[in-house]
Amino acid sequence: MRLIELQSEFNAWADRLLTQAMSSSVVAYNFNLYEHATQFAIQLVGTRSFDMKDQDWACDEIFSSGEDLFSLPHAVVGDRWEKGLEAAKSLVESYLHHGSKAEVLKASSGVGVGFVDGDIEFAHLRGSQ
Amino acid sequence: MPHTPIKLIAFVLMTLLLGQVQQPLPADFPTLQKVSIEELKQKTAAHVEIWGLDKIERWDLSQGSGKLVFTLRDGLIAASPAQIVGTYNSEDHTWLWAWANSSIDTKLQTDALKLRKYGEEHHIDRLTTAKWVGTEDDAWAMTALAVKLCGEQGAYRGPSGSTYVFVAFGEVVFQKK
Repeated sequence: MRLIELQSEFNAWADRLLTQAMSSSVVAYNFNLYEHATQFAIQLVGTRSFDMKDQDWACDEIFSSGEDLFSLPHAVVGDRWEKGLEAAKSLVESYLHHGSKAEVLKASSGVGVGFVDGDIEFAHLRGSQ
Repeated sequence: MPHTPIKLIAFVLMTLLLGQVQQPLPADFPTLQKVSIEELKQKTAAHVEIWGLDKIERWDLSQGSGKLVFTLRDGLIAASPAQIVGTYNSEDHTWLWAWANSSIDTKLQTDALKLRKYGEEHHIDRLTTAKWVGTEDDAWAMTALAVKLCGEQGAYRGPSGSTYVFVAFGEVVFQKK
């Protein structure tokens, strides 16, 4: 299996979660990454705040996919954390372009991707005048 | 692909108003800053006049595509390649260069890195110090410098809470929603 083949599964996972997460009180979304023995795992959280200067915003959760994680097997993406992050960013960025619920993410102030014990990278930022 | 009238008109006007004869850069930094700020003011006035940069309903910046997309109230969409120059924190009045911000993808740091290199070569502390205290005008001055030195077409300050994202953008392409 290749990453591109995981995309449709990721899209279905994100579609399902974003339907549940749709709430006017969600200000931003973060795709949390976890490193496990044979895979990386992605968790989606919705937060009540967003702050570009303080990454703790990602802990201010009002929605979480909890144990409903998306799996990125090491056999597909490699076992180095950089590869896991790169794969997750690729899936999220593709979803932002083509996902059927992408507008839910894009309507928020920010969408981040990152390991729970590392830095968050912004995949999308949005603002109004 | 044929140009739609809106694209063609905008393209002609932008070319006329933003096209500038390349002149050598001023040798001293204060003059370079002054010239950069003046040029950015002219470019911003042109964007406001031609397509309404001051009338945007929302802005979206995608790190994946590196595109800044403005949506205007009349449904016009203006998109352009973008670079994050830095962020300004209005609470503690600090400027943080994009190259020092781990949340910003490296491909959106290219202009900021070019300014750091210029700063290293010309011994300008503000261009090589990751974070410093200053005013919002100082943040605009850094952004104007990026527009000048990197050949960008304009700049925008995107509010994001108490932080402002300063973005330099390139050629703008228009599309009707």
